[in-house]
Amino acid sequence: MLTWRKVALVAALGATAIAPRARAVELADGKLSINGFGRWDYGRTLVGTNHYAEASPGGHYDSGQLALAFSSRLTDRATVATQVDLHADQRGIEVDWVFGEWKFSDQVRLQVGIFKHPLGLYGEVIDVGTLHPFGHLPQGIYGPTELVVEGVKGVGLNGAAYDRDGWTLSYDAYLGALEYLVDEPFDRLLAPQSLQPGRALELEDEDARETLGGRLTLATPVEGLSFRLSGYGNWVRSDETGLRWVLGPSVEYASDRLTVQAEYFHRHDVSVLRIHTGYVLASYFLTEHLQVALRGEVSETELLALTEGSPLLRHRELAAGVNWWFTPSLVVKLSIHGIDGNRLAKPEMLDDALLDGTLTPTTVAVFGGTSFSF
Amino acid sequence: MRSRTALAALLVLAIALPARPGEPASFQVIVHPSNSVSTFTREHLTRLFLKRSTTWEDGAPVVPVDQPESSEVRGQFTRKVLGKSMSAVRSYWQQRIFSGKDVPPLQRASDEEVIAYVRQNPGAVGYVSAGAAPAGVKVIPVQD
Repeated sequence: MLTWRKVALVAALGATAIAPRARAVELADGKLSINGFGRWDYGRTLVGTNHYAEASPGGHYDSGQLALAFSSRLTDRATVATQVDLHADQRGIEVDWVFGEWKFSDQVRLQVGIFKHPLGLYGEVIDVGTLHPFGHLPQGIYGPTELVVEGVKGVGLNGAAYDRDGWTLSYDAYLGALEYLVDEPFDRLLAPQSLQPGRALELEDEDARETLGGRLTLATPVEGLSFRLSGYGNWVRSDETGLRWVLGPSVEYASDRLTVQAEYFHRHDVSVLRIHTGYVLASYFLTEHLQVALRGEVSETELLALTEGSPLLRHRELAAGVNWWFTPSLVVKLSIHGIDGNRLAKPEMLDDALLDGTLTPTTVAVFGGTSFSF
Repeated sequence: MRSRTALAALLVLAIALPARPGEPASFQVIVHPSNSVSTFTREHLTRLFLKRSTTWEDGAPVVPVDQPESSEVRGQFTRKVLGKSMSAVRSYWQQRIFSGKDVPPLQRASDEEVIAYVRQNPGAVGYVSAGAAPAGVKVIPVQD
């Protein structure tokens, strides 16, 4: 029987075979382009019993993913595009984005449909492993912390507002609905009487319909140096939360060998919580193929109704990685992560750990895998 | 002895430093003969090849044509005109592609193919090696 795991494996092998060319498929004289990316990662918790990202105490193998992006230029001004994601796990097939775009000018492009969330450095390219040095992005911003979503459903505008003398100021603006993946254990702190033996923490969806947001990107004349400011506000539809706003700056310097990045975001759910989260990353190519990387990350949550602290409110991580790039489009990665806190690294049976007092804030996890794009 | 060391150091620097925009061009920029453009600035070409500017002055669409990443002329053009490394350009396009915002310029495999494409497409702009003989197209000088 053909499973998604096998499909992803076959796709990965196929892509590996074509990776040295690393070319998109162009049809109809460039009017139809097909690009793709894929990855597979193994994660294992070495110290502690917590699950973190794709790491688990027994080892996690099911993270294969292949995405195909199709872009069709209907006319000089009209484009339609979609990206389809195949996952080896229970998510199966997903449509990442599907939209139509009308170009009024180089300064104003209108998108209608589901388009990627323009937030920070990676909001639109979270899973593209050939764009970042670790197997997964900093989870405090790009993980299940309700800052970034897979896609914005609505209308968006983007373009270059200023482009002269090496300075480029571009913008993204959007209005629409967001669907968050929620992994917040805060009710267990606010209402400990609700703890249930044997209850596992489950990911849930949460809608925010009236979202207005945007991002400014300033590229400087210094090659590789750019700054971004992104954020949004919305009304989250749930029992507890109302107005939410998110805002944060990003800075990146990227040269052939050295990349330095830093991002910070603040999320405020009015009257409920505040989150401060950020990271600093540096990576360096020792040779054409060998890259080393370091990342430090801090995420702190403040529940306004809770005075005492808890490991469930903090995430502090130090990660070190080493990568071998066969080509710029095919890489194998290995990294080790030391984590303090249970905001993002948690036992599978969280309620049991809280009831038994066996919650351990220390986690050490390793990740290894491959990413490619074409 | 000291002057020899200094000379050697200068030679090493001259070899190690990347090509600067002021050096003689090792490529020619070409457009269709009907194109009214008479000169390019590096900034204008950068906007065209990164697709930040997509129309000519008369409103006709620009169709930039690249050569393969592995080609010498692409490397020269990328460094001297775009002022970027190949990895920076690659990263730029991956961001654009997978955010659904744009796709890279068309690619043609050789000088001859680029010349043939530009000759047949009024909106096209491409570049070929300095030694190529671009017949049937217009060579446009590039200023800083």
